[in-house]
Amino acid sequence: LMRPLQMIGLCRSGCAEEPLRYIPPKSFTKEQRMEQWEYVNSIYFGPERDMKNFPNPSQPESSPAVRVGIIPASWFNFLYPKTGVTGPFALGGGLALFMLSKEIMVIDHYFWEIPSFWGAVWFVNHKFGHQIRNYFDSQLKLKKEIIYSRPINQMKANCEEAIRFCEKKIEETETATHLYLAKKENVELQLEAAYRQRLLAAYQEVKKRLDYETARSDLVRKFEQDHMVDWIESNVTKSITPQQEQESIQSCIRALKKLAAKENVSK
Amino acid sequence: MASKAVKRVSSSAVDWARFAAVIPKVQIDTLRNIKTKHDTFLNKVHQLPENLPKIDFSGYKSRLPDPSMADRFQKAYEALSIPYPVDKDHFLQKVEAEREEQDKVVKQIVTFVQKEIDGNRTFISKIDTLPKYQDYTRESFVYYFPDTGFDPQRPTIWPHHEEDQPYVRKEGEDHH
Repeated sequence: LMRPLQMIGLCRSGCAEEPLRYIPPKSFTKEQRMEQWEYVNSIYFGPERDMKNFPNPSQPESSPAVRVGIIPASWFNFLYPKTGVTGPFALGGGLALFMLSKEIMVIDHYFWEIPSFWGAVWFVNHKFGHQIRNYFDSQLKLKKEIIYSRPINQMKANCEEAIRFCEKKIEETETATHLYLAKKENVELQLEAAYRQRLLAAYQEVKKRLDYETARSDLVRKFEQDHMVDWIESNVTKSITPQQEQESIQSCIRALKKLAAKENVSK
Repeated sequence: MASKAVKRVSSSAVDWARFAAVIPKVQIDTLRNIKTKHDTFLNKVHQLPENLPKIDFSGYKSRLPDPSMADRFQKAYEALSIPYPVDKDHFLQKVEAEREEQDKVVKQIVTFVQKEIDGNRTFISKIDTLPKYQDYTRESFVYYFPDTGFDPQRPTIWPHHEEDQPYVRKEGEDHH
């Protein structure tokens, strides 16, 4: 579904003339724009411009003030010094009376066009005046935004975003310093670890030898002790005769009886 | 040399928080790798003893078969001096060389980016020299912004909306 103008292009391209080719719209770089503005400013507002005799035409915010709907206030102000506030009204009424008396303005059936017309105008303004005013104001505002405000603000916003991005990039270059310090520290930590490993190895070697010697001598002494104890014990048990065994058993029994007697007495 | 290294292991010379903040997101793996390596080395260093550990020779003396052995060992142990390891592969030099290289690159980047920033700033200030909206005429507006006016190389058809012009081609749309 093509738009009508695209169909025109399509039809035209069917002709045997030069085919319709795509021409991209003009685009300018920042430098080109700045150059153009500088040049145009130098012409319109530069030293050769005669601002006194040819002031810059400026679009006023609103039309000049009016009194009674359609009569410019400047006419009232013009008459004020001479006639005061009621002057223009007196002039208007007097003019009307003069025209009636001289029969310049005749009250015939055409006369009533004037009050009817202006009454209708007043009525329409009374009912829809605000609406119409607001509609046109909004249209003008929209036009200004589309043509001027939005593009200019977009340009500024793009520039500011580019500045922020660039500043972020400059901050990111700090990474090189941090990386360098981290690598240096890693290397130095590795050297320190190797040094400490050597200390530990020396300590462990010395300790190993000392421990071996002490353990060895302890083991020898222990063996001698155990052997001696066993030998003594075995000899003693061998030397016990049956006679001695009987005597020792009897003395044990006697001792036990004595202890039992003592126990009964104490209870 | 040893004492310098010992002092440093208590607090790192690298500001890891700042490092993590400034590094671009695409290089986060580099940071992770170097941090893990750093932590590994730091753990190893903390596990190992700072100085030569002490041995209680008097205790051994009573238990040894040969008492003079304890004295000999003590004298030798105290006289022990362990050399600090030497950087055989010259890693520190390599790190310094890399630093010099990176410095040059960083300088280039900073000058280029700074120029961009200055260009943008001047552009913003030039925008402020433009006349106010009320002060333009149709003619002067087109002089200030030539792309809004009529371009004889590229005539447009009423109502001059860009998207309705036969010239405009959307991506993928075929002319025929």
